[in-house]
Amino acid sequence: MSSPAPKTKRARAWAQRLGAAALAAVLLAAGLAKAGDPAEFFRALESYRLFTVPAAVALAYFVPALELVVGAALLRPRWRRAGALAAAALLAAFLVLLAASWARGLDISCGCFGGETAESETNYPWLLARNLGLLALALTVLNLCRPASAETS
Amino acid sequence: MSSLRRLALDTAALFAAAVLLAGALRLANPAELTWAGLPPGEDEITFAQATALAARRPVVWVDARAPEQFAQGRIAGAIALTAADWDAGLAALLERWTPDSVIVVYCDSAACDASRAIAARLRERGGLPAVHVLHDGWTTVPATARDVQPRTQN
Repeated sequence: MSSPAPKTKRARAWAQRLGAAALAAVLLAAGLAKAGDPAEFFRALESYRLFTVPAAVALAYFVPALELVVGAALLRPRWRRAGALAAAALLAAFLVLLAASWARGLDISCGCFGGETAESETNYPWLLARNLGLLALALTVLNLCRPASAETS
Repeated sequence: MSSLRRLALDTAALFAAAVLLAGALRLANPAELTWAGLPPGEDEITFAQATALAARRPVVWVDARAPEQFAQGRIAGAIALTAADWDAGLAALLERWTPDSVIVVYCDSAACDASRAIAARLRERGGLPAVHVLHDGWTTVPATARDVQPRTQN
């Protein structure tokens, strides 16, 4: 019978890879959607009524770029840990933004995957739950990437 | 190098790479979006343009936002008109409209589509000419043009 330690190590390694792949898929899809139409994402950012126009323009390019870079980093073992940390920071920022908009009673266009428009009332519980789930995934991957459990692929 | 220090440097490197990629995305985008934001669309009009127009023609402001938002504040003299309350709102609009009127529809911000939908409906189903959308919506209305006192609608 094999010892638990190697089996646990293998399980953690697979969990790390699968978790990182799932998170990368979401971030790459979101980043590509936003990068394909920065004007639409700019309109979404304006709906938060928090940013000046130049800041919203800068974010309209920077956020999708960060999602793409972080998504790619998650797929590479060398960069996975940093990618998970950056993803967690990004998702935490989105959560704070959504919560603040909800508290202010704003009807926003999330812009999470590019051209979502505010045709009906913003579904804050769903948006917050979705982001919270992704943040939990990012933190799990980060934890699995700790040096004691990191493995090269 | 300690693992935390390496993590910090790697994360900083990712952010730096994102800044470079953002610059590349900006160069690749044919600059519809500039540092001044988006230009007004074909049927859009800025608040300043509408104000200038009001010196020559009657401007009827139409508020396409939710009733609660209208109740909290609106452009002075605006009429509430939403898809949910179309008939009553249109009746109120037609009482104010004259053939030389310009209608300007607004909602919350650039991301809000309600004003575009209401404007399209006024043109197509209402047959009303000279219907515009306020570029970037309520967010561009100066405080001096806002009526924030509760008013009962009749």
